[in-house]
Amino acid sequence: MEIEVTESPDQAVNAASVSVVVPPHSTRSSRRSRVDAFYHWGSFVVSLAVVIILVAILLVLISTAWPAITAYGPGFLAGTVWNPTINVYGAAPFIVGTLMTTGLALLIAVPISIGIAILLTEYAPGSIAGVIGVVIDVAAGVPTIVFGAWALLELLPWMSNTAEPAIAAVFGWFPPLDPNNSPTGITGYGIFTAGLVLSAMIFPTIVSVTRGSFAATPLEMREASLGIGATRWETATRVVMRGARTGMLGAIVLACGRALGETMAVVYVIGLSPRIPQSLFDQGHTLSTILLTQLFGGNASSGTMTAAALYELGLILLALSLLAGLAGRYLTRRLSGALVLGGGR
Amino acid sequence: MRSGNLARRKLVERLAVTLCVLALLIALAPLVHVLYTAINIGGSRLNWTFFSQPAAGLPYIGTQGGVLNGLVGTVLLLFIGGLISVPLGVVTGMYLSDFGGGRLGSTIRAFSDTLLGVPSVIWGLFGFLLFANPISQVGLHLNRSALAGGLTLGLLMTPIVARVTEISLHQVPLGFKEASLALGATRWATMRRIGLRVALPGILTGVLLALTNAIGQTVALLLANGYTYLMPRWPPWGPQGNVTDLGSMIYLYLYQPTTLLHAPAEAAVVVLLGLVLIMSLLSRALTAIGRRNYAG
Repeated sequence: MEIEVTESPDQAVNAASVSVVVPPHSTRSSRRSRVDAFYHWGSFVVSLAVVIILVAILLVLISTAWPAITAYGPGFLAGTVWNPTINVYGAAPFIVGTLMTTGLALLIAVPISIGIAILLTEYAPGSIAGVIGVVIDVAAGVPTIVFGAWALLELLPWMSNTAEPAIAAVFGWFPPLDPNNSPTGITGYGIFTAGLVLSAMIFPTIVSVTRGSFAATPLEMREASLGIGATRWETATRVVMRGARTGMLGAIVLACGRALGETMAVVYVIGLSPRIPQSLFDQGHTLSTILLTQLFGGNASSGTMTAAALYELGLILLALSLLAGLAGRYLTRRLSGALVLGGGR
Repeated sequence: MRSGNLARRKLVERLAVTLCVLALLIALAPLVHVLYTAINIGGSRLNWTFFSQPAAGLPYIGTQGGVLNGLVGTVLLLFIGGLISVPLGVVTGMYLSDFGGGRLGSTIRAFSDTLLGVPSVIWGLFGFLLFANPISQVGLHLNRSALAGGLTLGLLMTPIVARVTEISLHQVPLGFKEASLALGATRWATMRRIGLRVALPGILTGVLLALTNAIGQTVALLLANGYTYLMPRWPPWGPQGNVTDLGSMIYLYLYQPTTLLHAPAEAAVVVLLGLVLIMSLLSRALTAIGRRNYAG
């Protein structure tokens, strides 16, 4: 056997001869270790970028919001009045608006999405499930301004002309669900319509992640359940869903994170009124819609108390979103599959 | 499980499945109607002029002309975003894949994943203050401009590119790397010649995913890039540096107090949906190519 000692690592090496070549402690090996040390530390320094970005976001937001934080303290969270002309700022209207729209969206989207996920993993033939799965995955990536435009041009007139009068006719006896009972009457605008748009927007996220966790159920467990005579529905609810509880919860929390920060899908239909909604059909504002409408106009760029208060609202929204994002990612950490992008848009 | 009442249990199953089908129809109806609305209202505007002309018309700009300013602006913003995020994200992914096993790696991964949950409007506030705002205490003072918007997109795309790069590199069969290292190649050479080459389709999928996500960051762009009806001008910073992006275009068309802009807005929705669809299908094709690569 011919033994070939290569001088450069770039040169082709005869595989059969490698096992007998002992690399000498020469300049070559130290050059190699220098290359790798440079690679190691160089890539480490670059990867610090993500740390710096997050710290910078927090620093920039906190420092800009600082005048409001020190002026109003924790009472800012509970303040119910937002009136820049008299320098009174409270976050409660926007926090309540955000939680109401998000809660309503989840209430509608969660049962529907779980039903769809069961249908796709347990019942639908592979090819049909595949096609619907692709449609739903693509829908999860659609820019949300598309939903916003549809909500303004189609959903809003339908809500005010058809849906809300119908709801009023059915639930007229029950004030919290009576659109006529809201301070502005039947307009189509408000928390309810915004929640509907959000539910249409977040259901693909819940379906994708839930499907992933359902599909992770071992085949043996399904077979065992079917083998002792359970119907497929009983298998789905008692075996598959039980095993996928954590993943399902993760899907819901991730979708919640997207709904919390959503701006473009709701900005045209929520009504943009900065007070605590009195009912489900009242008009309102969310943390993100107040930020867009006030800061895009440029009437509160920076340096004023209004701007500081707005940036404090931003901090509250960031805290809620990060909490949902981290919890969702923790709950779904065992699932392999498509990367779910949180963060409302 | 009680075996009795089989008929009742079968009935329950049938009812439940009917409800699930109903749920699917209820959920798909808005999606289909969104698409139908866009084509129905905007379809009449979708001709060659719409793609080849920037927005024009008086008193409402957009009633005439087309979407060219929005297309060019969107591409420019994505290009700047990609220029920032691809190197940052890919190198971060390489670090996490090769050296990210320890506590330091977990910390960086945690920060990167946390960034995935930051909402668009917060990226907009951050990008505005750090890059755009001319009176910020600390920042680049670029005004609302293409560069400020593109930099913001670059930052929000970075964690996505990093995550997908790491996942793709992890899927490279260990044997490939071990063979290279056993032959005496450095880790860097192994990454450059084996890892990156095999994982390339996966990494490109990640870049496409990040770009598709960036297209939809309308709020961030409204706050950091602002809005103009004009084609991009030189320089892409300063008071005249802002460009049009498709999302902001739709938002501001619908903001105007006229129904004349509904048709161009929905036509722009069709263009935006078309872009997203093309990019999604492209990334699916790349995923298929990637699978073949990993099989060796």
